Amino acid sequence: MSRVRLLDLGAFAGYFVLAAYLGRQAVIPGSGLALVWPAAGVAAAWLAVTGWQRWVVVDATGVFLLSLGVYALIGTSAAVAVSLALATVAQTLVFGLLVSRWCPEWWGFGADPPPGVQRLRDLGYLLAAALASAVVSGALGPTSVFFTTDADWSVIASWVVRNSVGIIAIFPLSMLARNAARSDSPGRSPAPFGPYSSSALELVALVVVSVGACWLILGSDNGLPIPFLLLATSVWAGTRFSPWVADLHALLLATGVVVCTVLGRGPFGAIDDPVTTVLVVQSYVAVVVVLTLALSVGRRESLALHQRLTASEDAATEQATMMRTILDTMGDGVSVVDATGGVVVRNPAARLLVGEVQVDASGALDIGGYDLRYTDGTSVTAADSPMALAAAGEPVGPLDLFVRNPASPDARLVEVTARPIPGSDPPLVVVVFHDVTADRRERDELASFAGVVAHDLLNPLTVVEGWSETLLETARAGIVVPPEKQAEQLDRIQRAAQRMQHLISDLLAYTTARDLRITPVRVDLLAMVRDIARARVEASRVSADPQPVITIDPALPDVLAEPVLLRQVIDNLVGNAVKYVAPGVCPEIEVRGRAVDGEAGPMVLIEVVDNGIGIPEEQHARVFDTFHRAHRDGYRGTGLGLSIVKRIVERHGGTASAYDNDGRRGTTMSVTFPAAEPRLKVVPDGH
Amino acid sequence: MSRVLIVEDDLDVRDWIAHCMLQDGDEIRGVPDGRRLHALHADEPDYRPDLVLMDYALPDTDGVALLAELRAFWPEVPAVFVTVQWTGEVIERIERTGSERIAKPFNPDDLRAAARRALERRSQG
Repeated sequence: MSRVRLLDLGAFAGYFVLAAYLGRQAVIPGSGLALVWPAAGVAAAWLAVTGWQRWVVVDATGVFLLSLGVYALIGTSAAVAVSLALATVAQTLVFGLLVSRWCPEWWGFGADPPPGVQRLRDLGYLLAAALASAVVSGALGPTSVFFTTDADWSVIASWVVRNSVGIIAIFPLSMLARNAARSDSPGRSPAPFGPYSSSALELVALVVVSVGACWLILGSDNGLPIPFLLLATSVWAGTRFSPWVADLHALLLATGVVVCTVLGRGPFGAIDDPVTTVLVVQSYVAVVVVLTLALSVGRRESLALHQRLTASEDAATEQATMMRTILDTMGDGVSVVDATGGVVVRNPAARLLVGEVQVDASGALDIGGYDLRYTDGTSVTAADSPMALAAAGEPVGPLDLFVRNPASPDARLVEVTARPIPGSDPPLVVVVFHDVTADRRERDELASFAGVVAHDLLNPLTVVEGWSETLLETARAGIVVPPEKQAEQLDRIQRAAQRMQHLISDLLAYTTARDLRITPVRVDLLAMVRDIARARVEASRVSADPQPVITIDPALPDVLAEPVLLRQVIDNLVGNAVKYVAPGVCPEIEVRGRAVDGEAGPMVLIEVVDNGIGIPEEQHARVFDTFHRAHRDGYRGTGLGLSIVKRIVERHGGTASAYDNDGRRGTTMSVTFPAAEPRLKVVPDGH
Repeated sequence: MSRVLIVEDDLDVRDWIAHCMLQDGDEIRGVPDGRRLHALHADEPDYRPDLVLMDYALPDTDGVALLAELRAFWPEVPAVFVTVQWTGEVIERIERTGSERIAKPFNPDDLRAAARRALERRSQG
């Protein structure tokens, strides 16, 4: 047996004896009837807080022996003392049995302190268990007294009422005291105010008023039947203070009533018949205690409810704030609309994607105002709108729709998903808008790019495969093919292979133009252009083509660029100028440059002027599109060269354009690159 | 002997198709795009091919659209599309014209077989 357990046992034994002693002090002189029997409540609390199941035999034995001792001390005969002691034990056990079934959380030693009477329902259980246990014990102890002595029925009645009241008055307060002694939790603190709105001053006022009222009503022999006025102080205590204060107030008030009655004072002391006195006083005490308990428990329950409500409200506010923040910061548009199209919730992204809410004259949602269209261009009608379909219970999407309105004048492609919100009343629909304009464009471009690549590779592959198959077949068949015809077929194969090689090279350059990390450095543009020009002239000499005449502006300014990519740009432009000339014409090319002001700072405009076949005016912008070729007849190309130029130039923050030469044949291609800082002139020492 | 018109912007491919068809003793002519085809019709109103072999991806138009245009002046002329395998949508458009379709790269025998089927369709029609 643990030390704590022994201390508990000892403490309760002392408490029981004290309560029994006080109960005996409340005996009406000359009657032998005690007005109250607090020991009954002590015994009940004893078993409740020391552990109902594990130590019940020890505790019950303790209750029996102490009861026996108390009855022996007050001179009860041995048989009656045993009978009454057994009745006390039976009462304690029945109470414990009922309460452990109805309110099991009240019990247990070593666990969390039992919460005690928390709710009005608990109070009902307490009253029922107290009354039932008192009835059972009354059927045992006092009945034996009734049959073995000349006592009348009032013995049984007073026992039942007295013991019930004893339990009701003592048990809750004992539980509170026990919890306060054991609890580390501030929530179970016996503080008189706690979350209640009362104050220390009010407590003093309650004490003063209660004592004064007791003195006036119970202590004086004014003969007025006004003890009910004391109930006002009980109401005060029950509604303004913690259960701890309220219970204590009820107990002290009951003690005052009992003491005054025993002393023969007040309205109850004036009653002549002892049995009547006992029953009236006990009933009065019962009303005071139950009323106070009911009020304080009700007050506690409503406060707990209020606290929960406040906590829920705070949590809901926090949740709403979080949801609002999420909605406000997310990139996708979210709208919640009702069946009539009324907007319940809408985030800024929704406003950005689909514009302001469109309503007609009647205030209903105007789908036409959004100009929603399917990807085939047909309009979305109000009946077929995702909101209407979802409101009818049919989930919609993800569905691609074009939206064009003042918020999106260039028509966005929006992926729309609409779902009815389950259980919403009135029915609500959540609509999510995801801007896929860039995604879809990129996807289409990629598909188109892949298609063109496949086309441009499969064409030369067809040629390679076809002519090589032809050569193979003739060889196998032993057919003699003239050497010049064989050479022609092999030449065709070689040219096709070269085309594939050029396409693959250009594709790699295209990718490099897009992905290569740009680290701009100062580039000597003049030196670079001269180098490229030399290489072009040499290549033409080797291939026996007409050698180009390339004039270079000696004042070409330095630029800030990624050298590898800048070289690619200049080489592509000069290469085009060499290639696209009329048959037999010698390419004459001028490369010139000058400083210009750009939006982001000083730029260098580089122009490549040729005497070539020119570009039709309507194609001046399109020549920079991927795979676009202005000239197909007689000129081989991949359609990637100028798109590579444009991409590189734009990555440097510049622009690329094409225009006809003034008054003469040919084209001028111009690009801009960021200008390098002018070089400082070095002044020799001594000047 | 059939008159065959090849509409193909890639000169090497056009030559190869011509080489395949010429073995059957056909009369072969070629144009690179829609504009040149219309010019051919304008210059030689009496010319009418028995079969058109055409690419789908042409510089100035697509093969299906061009077929509809040329059938306005050469009604019911049979056609074989010689093209890369394209998207399902393109294949559907080609099939709706009632033409044959053959994918690049192709075997000369397959091309000739497709040409024969196209001519037979016309004669059955």
